[in-house]
Amino acid sequence: MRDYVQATLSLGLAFGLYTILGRVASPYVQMLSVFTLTVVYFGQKKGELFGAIVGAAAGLIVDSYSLGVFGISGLTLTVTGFLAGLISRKFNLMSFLKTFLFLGVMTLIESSLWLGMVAVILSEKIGRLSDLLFFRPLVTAACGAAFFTWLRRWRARHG
Amino acid sequence: MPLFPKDKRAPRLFIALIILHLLLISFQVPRGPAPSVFERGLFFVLSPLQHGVQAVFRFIRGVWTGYFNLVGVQRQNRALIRNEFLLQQENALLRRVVEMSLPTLEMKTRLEAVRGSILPASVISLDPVNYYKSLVIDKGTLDGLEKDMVVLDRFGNLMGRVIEPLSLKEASVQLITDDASGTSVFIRGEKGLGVVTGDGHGRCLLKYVLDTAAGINPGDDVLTTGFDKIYPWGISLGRIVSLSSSRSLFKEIVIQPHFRFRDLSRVAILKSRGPFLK
Repeated sequence: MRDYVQATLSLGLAFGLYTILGRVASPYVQMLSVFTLTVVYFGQKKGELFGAIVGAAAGLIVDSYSLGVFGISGLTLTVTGFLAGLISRKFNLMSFLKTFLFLGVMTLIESSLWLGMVAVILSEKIGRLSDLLFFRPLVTAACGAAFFTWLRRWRARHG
Repeated sequence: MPLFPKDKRAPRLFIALIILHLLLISFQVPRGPAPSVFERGLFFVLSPLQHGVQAVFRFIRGVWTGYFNLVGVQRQNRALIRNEFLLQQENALLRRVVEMSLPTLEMKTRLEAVRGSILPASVISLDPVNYYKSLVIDKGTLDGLEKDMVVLDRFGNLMGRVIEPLSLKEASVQLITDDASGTSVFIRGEKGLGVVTGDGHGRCLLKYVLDTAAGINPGDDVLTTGFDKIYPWGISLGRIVSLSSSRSLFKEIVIQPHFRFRDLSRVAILKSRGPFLK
């Protein structure tokens, strides 16, 4: 139960952060996927099943605010959450570099899946989408790795 | 280590979630004109939450700018007074022009109608997937908003139209930069008619202007014709930034919209198109 409360609060936080970033950093908000970070975090911490559930919930939030087909982000984030749980069990993700690489790969998988689905379902040309989307894996991985490393150190210091 | 965990629930639930999403997607393909009940419901539930976050953010900013960060307020005030003076002059001048072209009673009726038909709103969210497609504003059906109402930026330039889903205090807006949008326009100076769609990168494309059309140059203003029955006649949309002749029947024209993505704090909604009818 505690996990679900934590996940709900984290998604609410991501949602709030996304809203604020949208106001202060306008188009650049696309380069940082706070929802992907939340999903990957829970996938890594609580396992693939929980990652998939958080991914489905996060995806529905993203879809409700976009004009695309409802369910695309839900599907991609569900897969991302599941894979995050599955892959993270095989690696030690305690250093900044490893976290950065892991988050980069996960965001790349999520973005590729999303782009692929948009191209297939909506017949939309990838080149017509915003160029900033292509920086998403790099920026999300860098910000996420910095935040998670800080969080780990803070927890170690304060128990 | 096995590829999948020993707990059989995980892959089963994962597959169930995937099937659920695929079903959700398949119900919408091909996409109908209206969003699904589920999508509307989720928008209805989530939009007040985002409204709340926005209100907290606005409160903090209000306290900061209203009580602490007062540097430059005097300068800003002087600029506003000067701007207001210029606008008063411009307003008086335009009134005289309208007086000359319209009977007094009609002019008064039209000006009053214009004043009553504009509703200011704030942007509370942008499309998380493609920034140039849509946004959410803090006015909804309780404020009298309906589908297809026109949305302008704070300078009166066209931004888009209200679309579904609409909730009590929030509404979605499709931007003219969305590649699925379409606006009937003309080039100022009666140089040609066409349809504007978004290019997905924050600019627009002017389509169906014949390659033989003469006198079109970069810098020309593009305005709405009103033929699409959504946008009234004469709203400024953007400026031509480049044009080239293709091998097809039509020119390839790129338009820079007048509204700026960095300046979306306040928007105006036209609740009635009556006063703007030609």
